[in-house]
Amino acid sequence: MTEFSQVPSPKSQAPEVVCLHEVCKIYGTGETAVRAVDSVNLRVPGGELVLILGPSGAGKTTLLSLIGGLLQPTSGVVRVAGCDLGQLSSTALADLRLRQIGFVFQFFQLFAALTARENVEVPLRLAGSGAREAREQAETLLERFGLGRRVSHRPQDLSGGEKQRVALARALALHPPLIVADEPTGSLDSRNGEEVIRLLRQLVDAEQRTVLVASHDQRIVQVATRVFQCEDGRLAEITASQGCTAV
Amino acid sequence: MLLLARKNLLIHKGRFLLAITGICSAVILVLLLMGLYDGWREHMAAYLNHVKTDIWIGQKGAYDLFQTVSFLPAEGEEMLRDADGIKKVSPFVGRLMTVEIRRQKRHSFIVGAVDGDSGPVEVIQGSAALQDGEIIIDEVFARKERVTEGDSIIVKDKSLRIVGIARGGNCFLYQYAFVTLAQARQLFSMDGLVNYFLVQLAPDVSVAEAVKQIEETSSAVSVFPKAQFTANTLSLTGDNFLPILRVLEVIGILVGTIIIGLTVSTLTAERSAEYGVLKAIGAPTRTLYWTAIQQALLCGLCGWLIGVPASWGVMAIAQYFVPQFPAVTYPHHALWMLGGTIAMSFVATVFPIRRIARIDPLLAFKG
Repeated sequence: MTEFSQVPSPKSQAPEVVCLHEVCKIYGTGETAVRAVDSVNLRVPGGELVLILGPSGAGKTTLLSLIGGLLQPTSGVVRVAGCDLGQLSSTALADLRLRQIGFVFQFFQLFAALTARENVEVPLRLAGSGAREAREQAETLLERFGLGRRVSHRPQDLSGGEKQRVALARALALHPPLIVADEPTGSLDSRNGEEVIRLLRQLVDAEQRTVLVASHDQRIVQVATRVFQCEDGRLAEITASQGCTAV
Repeated sequence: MLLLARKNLLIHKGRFLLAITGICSAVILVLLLMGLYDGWREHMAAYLNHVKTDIWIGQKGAYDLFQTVSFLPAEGEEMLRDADGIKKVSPFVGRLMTVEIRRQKRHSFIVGAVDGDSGPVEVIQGSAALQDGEIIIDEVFARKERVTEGDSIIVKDKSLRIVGIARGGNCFLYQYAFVTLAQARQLFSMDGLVNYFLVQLAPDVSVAEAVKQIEETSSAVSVFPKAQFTANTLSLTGDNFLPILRVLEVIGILVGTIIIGLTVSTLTAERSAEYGVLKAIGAPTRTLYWTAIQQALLCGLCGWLIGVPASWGVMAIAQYFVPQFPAVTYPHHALWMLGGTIAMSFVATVFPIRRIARIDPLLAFKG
């Protein structure tokens, strides 16, 4: 059994959404082994925007993949929404990703053949929503992100900012408590980047969601609850406010 | 995920159309072969089923109508007629002959028709009543050789006038034609001989017992119940030819499966990143597999939907240009092919599914 009491407790009283204990991810073996994530401990309570800064190859995306249950750690324990990801079957893990985590990617990763509305419908249909219900929810979400008139457009007909907003709407479709965003402003111009940052912050302030962002974008520092520097697979807190602790 | 499966499939319409054309061709090929298989058996059996007899009696060792030789003395008819339990005895005289039409040599199985016992299945044009010097030919032969009622054909230097066109006499390699019994004997130089005796039994007599009794009475004859003789005649050709059709059907099914498999495999490879995203956002593995299966089923069913009516068209065209082409169409062929198409679609997804299983969800983080 992992002894979680060794991990420093967060200052916030909100329940933890993410908890990492001595997490390592090593690629390769022997002399060629690379420690992409090295002994990371992290506790993130609900309702925070946590930014992980770092250069390319520092291990940010690997860390997000571990938290998102897309990678198994070489050692250590990853808990999301109270579930030890290492103990879950692949089906349960997929279900956790579907319902507890919303993913936002740098390159949007929308389904090219589907319209904006159909893209947002995908997680809803995967979760078992009926066609009409999924359609209505998707339209409401897109309306909320200012895309009410773009519901029937395919990704190729949308601007970068619009695509990322569709991706955000897709990530939020099932109201997950955790949003994992990898370089969400990386493919956007300045104005659209700022809009996406504003929307991410709004999710924290208005809906008490937890947003975990890996990015180079220094503008996010201003809206982050906590900021961590990731380098050579290790995580170090560089600012601290309420409720986020890292070792 | 049907929507994603369908839309991804249709995103490259040209490729989709090519795939459908390929599957459709496989469906047409298999349906044609199935039609040919059943058609062959039906056409081969049609006349033999029509012949009014319970028992065929031939020379010892004779086994069927086309491949073995049988000559019996005509006086045997009197002996058989006197036996107990026999209602009627008819001589059967028939042989494959070379006929001449417009100085071209052709083949036809000419039968010396006796009343309604060994005459054509159905005369569809002209007269069913034959006189010496006249002949009734099959409709397939008529279409193939472009002859009709009133024309003449030459058999062994004897010109015979066509007085009727019959149906049900197409054996693919050749067709039946009918002349009077006397004419047949004269053409075949068979005075005092017959090829077979056709025996109709009294209603209360068992065929098996009659066969046994006749065989015990004479060791010089072979006796077959009608169904057995028909089966013998079909088997000598069918046992060798029909399995080839089955092999070709399997090849058609394989071609269809490969086309579906290639289409879905290519699509899976192209959309690897999307499968990665689906995995990342929490789609269960079975849903991803089902997406590939749905794509395969969509390809297969579209190919089937177009292929079935197209096969009817191809069959009609084939029979127009090759009248002896004995294919038939049945609804159960289309239904069987539907099952075959569904099976092809499932088998075709084996490789795409293996590919999907290997797709890394981390692809979602890459550009």
